[in-house]
Amino acid sequence: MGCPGVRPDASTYGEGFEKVSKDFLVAMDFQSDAAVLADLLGRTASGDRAAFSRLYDLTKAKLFGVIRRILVRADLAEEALQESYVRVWSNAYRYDSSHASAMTWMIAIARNQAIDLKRKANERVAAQAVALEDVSLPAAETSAEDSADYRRLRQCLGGLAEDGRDMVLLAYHQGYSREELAQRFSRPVATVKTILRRSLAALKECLDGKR
Amino acid sequence: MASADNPDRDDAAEYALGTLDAAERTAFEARMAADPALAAEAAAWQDRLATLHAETEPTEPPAHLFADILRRLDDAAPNNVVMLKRSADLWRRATIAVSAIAAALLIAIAVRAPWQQPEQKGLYVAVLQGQGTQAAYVAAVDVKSKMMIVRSLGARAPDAHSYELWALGAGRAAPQPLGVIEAVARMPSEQLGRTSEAALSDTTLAISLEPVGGSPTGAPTGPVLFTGKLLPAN
Repeated sequence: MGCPGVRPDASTYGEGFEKVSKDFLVAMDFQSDAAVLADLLGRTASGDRAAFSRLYDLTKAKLFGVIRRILVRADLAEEALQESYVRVWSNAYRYDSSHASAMTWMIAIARNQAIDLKRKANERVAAQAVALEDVSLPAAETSAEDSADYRRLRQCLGGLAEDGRDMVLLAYHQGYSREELAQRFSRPVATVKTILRRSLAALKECLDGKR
Repeated sequence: MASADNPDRDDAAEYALGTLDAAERTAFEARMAADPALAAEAAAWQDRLATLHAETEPTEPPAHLFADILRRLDDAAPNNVVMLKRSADLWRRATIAVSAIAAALLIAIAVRAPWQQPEQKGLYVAVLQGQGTQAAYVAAVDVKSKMMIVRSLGARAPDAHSYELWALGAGRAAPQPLGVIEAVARMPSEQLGRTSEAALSDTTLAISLEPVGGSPTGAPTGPVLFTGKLLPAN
């Protein structure tokens, strides 16, 4: 079945095939990554330090990126990363591949750690101004490398009312609490809660509707 | 709005988003622990939202961090009983039919995790299975902590019946009753009566089907459904 490693190119099959083939390869790479991570997580659950070390190498930059968006202070971000991986180690046996991908599961752990530390740090320095990074809306342009899921999510986010969308993104990426959002948007906390819930419900409806 | 009538679902979404306050989050995690459907809902939300991280730039953490993490793992090292529970959880989820020998090997590997001291004496494990190849229960005896734990891998007694655990062999004239067991049973290993290494290596555990509350006679009255021999884990 052909030579391994040789991929058909556009000149052989035309542009349509190139597009399909590219999507397929992106999907395949993603699949195999996911399977590798799930396998490493499974071996971590049984105490395999080599597997844990490999898992760390493959995921540290992504998790640190996730954490750094929430925790601007480098020392706190490093603390959160350490705590996250200790949790990955001791909770790996709870990971259920039927619920979520390994990456999603690890990102959730990292976000929880980062948000915890952020809230604690905010308590310590209650009045300190939080560095207000601009809301980073997903870029309007899509590229071929984006997964179908990402494109769909972006489309659905685009359909939300602006305040709601910005609140969801600030909460997700930068770990904003309802209180911080209330301050930033000059709205009562209860209103923020309502807007968040309404936006999430609309997001889910949009995502599910397009499946 | 769409889910105003279902506060749990809203909580699952906000839990994944990270905007529940500390008290709400703790309460939600407690509910989630008791409600797999709610846990699945939260996981689905985490999955939906994690897609957003396609646009998060990977950032290389400082190189020294991993050494610090490894040092902290030693403190987080679980004990044998926890380990067995982990293995059991994994197996239950995997719902893979394994032969007793393969399963015993898996346990042996799992309990000999690399973080543990090379001297891991005094741990005995058994995989109890029936006619098929499906493992039904796992058991471990830790001589050091003098504890025995028996855990179901999903098997449970049918309605109006109980499972009862027995010890056989090692010179016992008759099956020795160890009590009715449900999903998990923990007991002092002294209950086995014979706890020398030689006796443990020669002990077989068995589970019989009995009326609710266990055998009325002190001997198995129903069929023996699952058996497994204790093996040293090292």
